[in-house]
Amino acid sequence: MLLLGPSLSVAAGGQQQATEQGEESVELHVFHFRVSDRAAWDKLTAEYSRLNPNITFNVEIVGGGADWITALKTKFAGGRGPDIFVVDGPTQANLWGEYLTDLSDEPWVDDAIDMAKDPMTMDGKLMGMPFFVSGFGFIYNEDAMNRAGVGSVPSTFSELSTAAARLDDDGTNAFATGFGEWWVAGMQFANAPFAYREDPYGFMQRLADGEVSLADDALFNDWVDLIDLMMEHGESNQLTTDNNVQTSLFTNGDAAIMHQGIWKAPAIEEGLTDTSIGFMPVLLNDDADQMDRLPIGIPFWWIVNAESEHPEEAKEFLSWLVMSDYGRAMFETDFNMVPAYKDIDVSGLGPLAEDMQNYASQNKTVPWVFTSWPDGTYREFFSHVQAYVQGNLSREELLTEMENSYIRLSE
Amino acid sequence: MRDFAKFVAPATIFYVLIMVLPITLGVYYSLTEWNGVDQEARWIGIQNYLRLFATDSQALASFWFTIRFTLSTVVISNTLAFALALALSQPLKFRALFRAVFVLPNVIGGIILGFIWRFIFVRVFPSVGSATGISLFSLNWLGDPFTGYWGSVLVFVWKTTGYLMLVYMAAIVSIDSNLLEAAEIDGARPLQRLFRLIIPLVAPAFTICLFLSLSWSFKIFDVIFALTQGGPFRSTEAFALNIYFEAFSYSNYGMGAAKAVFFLVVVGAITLLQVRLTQRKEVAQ
Repeated sequence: MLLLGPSLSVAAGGQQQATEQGEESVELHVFHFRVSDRAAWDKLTAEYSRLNPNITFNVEIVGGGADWITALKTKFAGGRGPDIFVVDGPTQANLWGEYLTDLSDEPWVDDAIDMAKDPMTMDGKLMGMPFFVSGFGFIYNEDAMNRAGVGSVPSTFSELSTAAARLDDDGTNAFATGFGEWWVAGMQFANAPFAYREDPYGFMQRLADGEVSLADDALFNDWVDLIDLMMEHGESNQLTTDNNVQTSLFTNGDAAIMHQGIWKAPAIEEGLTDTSIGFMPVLLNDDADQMDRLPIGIPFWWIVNAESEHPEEAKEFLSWLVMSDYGRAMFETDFNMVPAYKDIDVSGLGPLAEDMQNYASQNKTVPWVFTSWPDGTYREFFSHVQAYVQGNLSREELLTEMENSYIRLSE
Repeated sequence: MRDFAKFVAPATIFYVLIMVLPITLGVYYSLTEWNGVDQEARWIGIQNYLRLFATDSQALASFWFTIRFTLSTVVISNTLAFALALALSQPLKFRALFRAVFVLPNVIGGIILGFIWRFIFVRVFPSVGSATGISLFSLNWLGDPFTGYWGSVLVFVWKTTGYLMLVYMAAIVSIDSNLLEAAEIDGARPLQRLFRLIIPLVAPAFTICLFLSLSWSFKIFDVIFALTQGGPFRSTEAFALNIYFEAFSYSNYGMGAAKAVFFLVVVGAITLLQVRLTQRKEVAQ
């Protein structure tokens, strides 16, 4: 799917009232990639303009299959960038370095969960406002597993292999691989062997410095074992299984497990009614304790453009978004996402969100390290994984190629 | 002289704004190291060009793909288009309908077309394959380098043939029918009429169509972007896609610009050469 285009919501009569009150009328230009939140944004900008008649909005959403980072770059290249935009992590924050605004003194800072602040803290200053918590991992169809006689949800790689074999015997593919989708195979799935270890960021630094060999690394070899398992018990034509195909395999009951994220909850609910589903960690090996963690992270942070002509208005609006009762209620009613703030209660977001909150509340998480990889890594990892699945690379070659890419792109 | 300036000025202004200026800027950025966001681009001379030829193996692979792709599509689409034009300039039933149907794919934008064909290859073909047992449909379309290549060629030919057909058709119907009749009366067989008469007389159309299809195929971006994203494992990454990824995914704007300048020179040289060669074959009616 490809969806893009501006969404304009200008409060009726806003301009006129503003001049009557003698306030300067301000249009805030907002850029983000959450295409599914278009209606929510129409609603909340209308409300905010009603409360603050001098503020109007130009909300631009580029996302879905579209490349929002490129679109954002062209906004800046074409003159003034948006007043408020999003970045997805440290690597991008570095790229936008000179456009970031220090938000350390904003009223929401104390409420935000620590995990959401750490990646955006630079030189002790918080440069972005977190919004959602998001998670991915293996989403499983519990009913299909029960039918196949898989007793309990696997918690180790061995149990996952047994379950996959049982599912195969039962006539369903165990996995919908997603090996045809760059952000599944090259980014989120490739997160696991980096993240399920002590000090992943230190490991990445040593990798960039050429001090570790991926071919000799235990977790990376475990990860290739997992790829082998998915190839053996997965759908046919895996290299063309993009995220749409993957989701439809899962919702049609043609596959019982897929590596996907919480954003798929609405699509799954629509296709698989009355089926119980849940999150399972990315089980790389038999160390049940180390594996019992879910990759949970912050999908994006709001940035106030340092070159904006209306930084105060932008900050005020962002604070309202997460501090006002109106904004807070929208996490549950409109965004259907888990907020990155301590004292906002949400419930009824469905089984995936509940599983994710359980893992998060017990601190059983691993980070999303891919947002710290150098630019271009996703494409290269994706290409190498595909070549391995096709049989063009051996296990050693796959890991060596990934290592070479990482070192070269880190230069 | 004043009138000359007045008449030429509007076109010149637009030409400078949308051609000369971007190309100049592109050449400038190709000599810098820039991530596309920073306000300052760092001057590094011709290093990008040196790196392009010395170490960038993917760029060379992409260039080679583009050459192969161009050869296949130019030959297939022009042959098909000319054959269709010949057929549809005969008095056939439903001729207008056929013409419209063949031109239609050209009206659809490349991105949409790529997505539609992706759906057909990935979802429809396997279903047809399992229903009919025809192995052509059960192939792993777009899933390996071979079917990825021919899948891209198929979609591009499907898109461009209709337009080329129109150009050929316009040339064929404008041939003086006296000439054809005279040849027939003189006893020229159909194939002789085709090769000795029709083809030489529509040579200007060949010049145009070869030029168009060459430059379209070389610059192929949208169809492949939507169809395969350059996959599997970058085997269908056309050079224009490689430039795009270099500039935007890898954040090497300078290197991307260097590749684009290199590409401009190559495509320009090849198409100029082609126009020269085919123009020589043109004859007066």
